[in-house]
Amino acid sequence: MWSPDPPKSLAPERLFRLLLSARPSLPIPFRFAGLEQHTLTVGALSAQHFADSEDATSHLSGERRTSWFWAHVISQCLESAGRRVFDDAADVLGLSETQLSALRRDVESTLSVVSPSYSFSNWVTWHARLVVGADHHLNAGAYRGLAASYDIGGGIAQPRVIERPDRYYGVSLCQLTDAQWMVYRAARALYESRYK
Amino acid sequence: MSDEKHPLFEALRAGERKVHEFDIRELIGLESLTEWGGKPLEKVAIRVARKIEQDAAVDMATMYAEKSAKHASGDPDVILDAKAAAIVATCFRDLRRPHVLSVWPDAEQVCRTLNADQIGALLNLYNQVRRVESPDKKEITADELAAVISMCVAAASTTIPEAVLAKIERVKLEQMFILLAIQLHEARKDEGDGNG
Repeated sequence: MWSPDPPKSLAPERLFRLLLSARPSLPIPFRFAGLEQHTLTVGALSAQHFADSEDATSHLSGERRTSWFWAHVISQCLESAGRRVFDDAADVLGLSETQLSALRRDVESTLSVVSPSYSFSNWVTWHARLVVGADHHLNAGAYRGLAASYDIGGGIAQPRVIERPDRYYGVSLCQLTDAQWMVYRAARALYESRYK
Repeated sequence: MSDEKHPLFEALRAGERKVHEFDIRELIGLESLTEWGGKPLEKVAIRVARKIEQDAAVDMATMYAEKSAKHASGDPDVILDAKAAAIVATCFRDLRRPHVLSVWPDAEQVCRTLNADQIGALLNLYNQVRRVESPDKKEITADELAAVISMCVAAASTTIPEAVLAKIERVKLEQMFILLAIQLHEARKDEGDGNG
């Protein structure tokens, strides 16, 4: 089940560090029967990934659309030993319905932690938790490095901050996940409150 | 993306699908049920559907509902009955070649051969198999059972117990009944010991 709020089980400072990484991921408890030695992790997806899954299934309807949508999502985020387990949605749909529903439950709840989104998550609550997390002494260097990723534009008369989290993450702006934007804005909010 | 599939996916694909053997003659009260060729059908194999097969069964059900009930094909009851028939057609397999042959070729043949109660009995059997194979082993706890018993006792003069119990899955109700029977047996035994 997708949880819109940040998880209570993860301390704010750990949550901040988790989302600070280039591609956050967390292990899930689900194991395939008889193949328990293969541990599984769920890696973050960008809003674009979700949009692609939506587009890929837009010609379908009802239950079939839902199952193909989640099969698409699972194929993109489920990993084992650092590699995607399934190449595409059709591979995922080869699982039994009972396996898939248990797997989907774990994937969905973990994705809501590693991939909070401005569309599906309660971003106000996430922002508040991440600001608390950024303020932890072990995150001082990381948050300053992230918060310092900005330009000043708008001229001398009306200077304004231009957000540049892309510099910290080393990717183009359009490749940033919502989670990275959230963690950036939390770091900026703390930075502004300290140094303004 | 590499052409090589993930070892976990390969292991999943190579794994043999389980089949569960059942004698369904008594269950559906149909001694005269025959397989193709006129030989009496004795035992069948039940195989849990893969998600893609389940989606295909939903399509089969929709097509059958449209064909059989032209003026009521959108009726949820008609669709539900057709889905039950389609899942029976998909998951009840010929015992000798369970991965090749099904007992009934499609939902229409299931509906031509069996009545609604018989289809329901087969669906219950299938759901028991699903539960056995499910990675989620949700057992009823003593506290959950106690809560249901309290509710039934407190609201015995109303229709609330029926409404609540109707929403509980049949497999859970079976577990509850067995636990309750054990408790009743223990209580009677204690009472007998006390009197003796």
